[in-house]
Amino acid sequence: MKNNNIFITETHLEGESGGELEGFTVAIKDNISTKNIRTTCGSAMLKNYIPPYDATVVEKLKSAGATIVGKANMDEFGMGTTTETSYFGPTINPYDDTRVAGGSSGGSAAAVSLGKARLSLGTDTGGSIRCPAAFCGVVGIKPTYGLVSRYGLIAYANSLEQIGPMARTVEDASMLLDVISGGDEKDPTASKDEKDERYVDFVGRDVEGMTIGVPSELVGENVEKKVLISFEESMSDMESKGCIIKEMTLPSLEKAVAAYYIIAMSEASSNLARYDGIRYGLSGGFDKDWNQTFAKSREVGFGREVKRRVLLGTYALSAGYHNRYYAKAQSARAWIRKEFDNAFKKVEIIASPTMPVLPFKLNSSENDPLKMYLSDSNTVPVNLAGLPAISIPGKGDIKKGPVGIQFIAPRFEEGRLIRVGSALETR
Amino acid sequence: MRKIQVGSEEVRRISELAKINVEDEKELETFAKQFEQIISYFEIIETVPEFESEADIKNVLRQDEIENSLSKEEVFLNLESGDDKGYFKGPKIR
Repeated sequence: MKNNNIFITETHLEGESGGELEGFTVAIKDNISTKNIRTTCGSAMLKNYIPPYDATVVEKLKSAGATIVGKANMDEFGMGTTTETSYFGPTINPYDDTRVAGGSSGGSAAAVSLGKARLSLGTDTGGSIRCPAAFCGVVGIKPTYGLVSRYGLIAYANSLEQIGPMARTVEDASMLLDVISGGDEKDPTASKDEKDERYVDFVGRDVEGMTIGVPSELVGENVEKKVLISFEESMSDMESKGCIIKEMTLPSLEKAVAAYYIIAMSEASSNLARYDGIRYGLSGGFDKDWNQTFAKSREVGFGREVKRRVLLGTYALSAGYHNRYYAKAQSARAWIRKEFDNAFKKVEIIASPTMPVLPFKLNSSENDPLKMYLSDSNTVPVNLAGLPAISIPGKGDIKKGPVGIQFIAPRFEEGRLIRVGSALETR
Repeated sequence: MRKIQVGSEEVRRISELAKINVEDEKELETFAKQFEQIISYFEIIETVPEFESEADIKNVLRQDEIENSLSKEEVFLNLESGDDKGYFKGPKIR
């Protein structure tokens, strides 16, 4: 497994000259469409798929002068927390070759961690930028829902996912966010609101007097000791820089993992219905009838986790179960959103460990999907509420296990995340 | 929390709805066992109070005007069956 299995496709595509990212190398997660460059979503279904157009974020990168160096490995269709569900094999952790890089944007995180690219783009549906950022010791930002255009992002769960920047420093990630954010006529959910300051200008700004809330639900029994120690050291560090730390409770968060998976799987079961093997993707042959060839192409083209999620989503939406699961999950989502809104009347930032655990051992997750889903407890609430969040390497010796610290802000307050993030990063 | 029962037959029924062949008996059983665990866990949302979501995002619409789109060649670029005289090739309808 050379080079940690970071790239599915390597390339070298220079952008226009004179832009703000001229000379910057960028890796792009392989579910973001790149014109004439294979885009697989980490799936056998799309192993030969070549998009005829660029995603909006890719167009923006090209005109900003960035050099695209490759399409980064990922869990199949973004469904996973380890990058092990990729048809192209797992990405290996940069700090420990017996462990995973995290997922689903594992290739994007490892690429910047190991210097294969200065910047990278990931996507985050339930933690897929923040988890691998934490496991690979880099910075990852999940933007507010609607800040970055999703045009050209191959969909998994539309109401939850966002494209976001990853880098080794908060400053680099902020520069990339400045380039990719903004309205887009091709994405009706992308907000047109103009910002009056560049994100990168928030780097290094004072955090004196800033209030940070820590919900007890996100630092509970499921958090490993090493993670908790790093989190506590990081909060002490923020206190020494003038922040005020407050404990709080958000009871709705106990329901977040269940609500998230019901909604994500339901949306996935509908989204992935486009893979019929007729217009693109792996063909199921043409000898039998529609139902048979359709089901054949998906039997061969999808991996086990994708099948699991599409089947469970189909179950949750099927007659008799819709109210019990999907409608309840939407209620939970509204409740979580409301509790966050109320919390932000009392504190300016909410903090938690990004992942409650250290990077998993390779090959330890396939047989217990529920255990894997439960490890997303701290990241999924953010997607359900459409909020922005950042993951920053925590205090402590990274060689003994990388830990990420997550900061969450109100909608469209990425500037605030960059302020606290750059404060924690200052040693 | 209620324990939900899922058997191989139920998984087979769902796989037909989802149009994904799952034929191997062992795989059906494994899925059934995992689905039981996962769906039983989902039952924790039973006690969630009723909440109406307040939409704070709005659709950003544009004028319905004709613009450039992909060419026919580009659209057929990814056909596994090859460009069959400018048509998508599908299985027979019976």
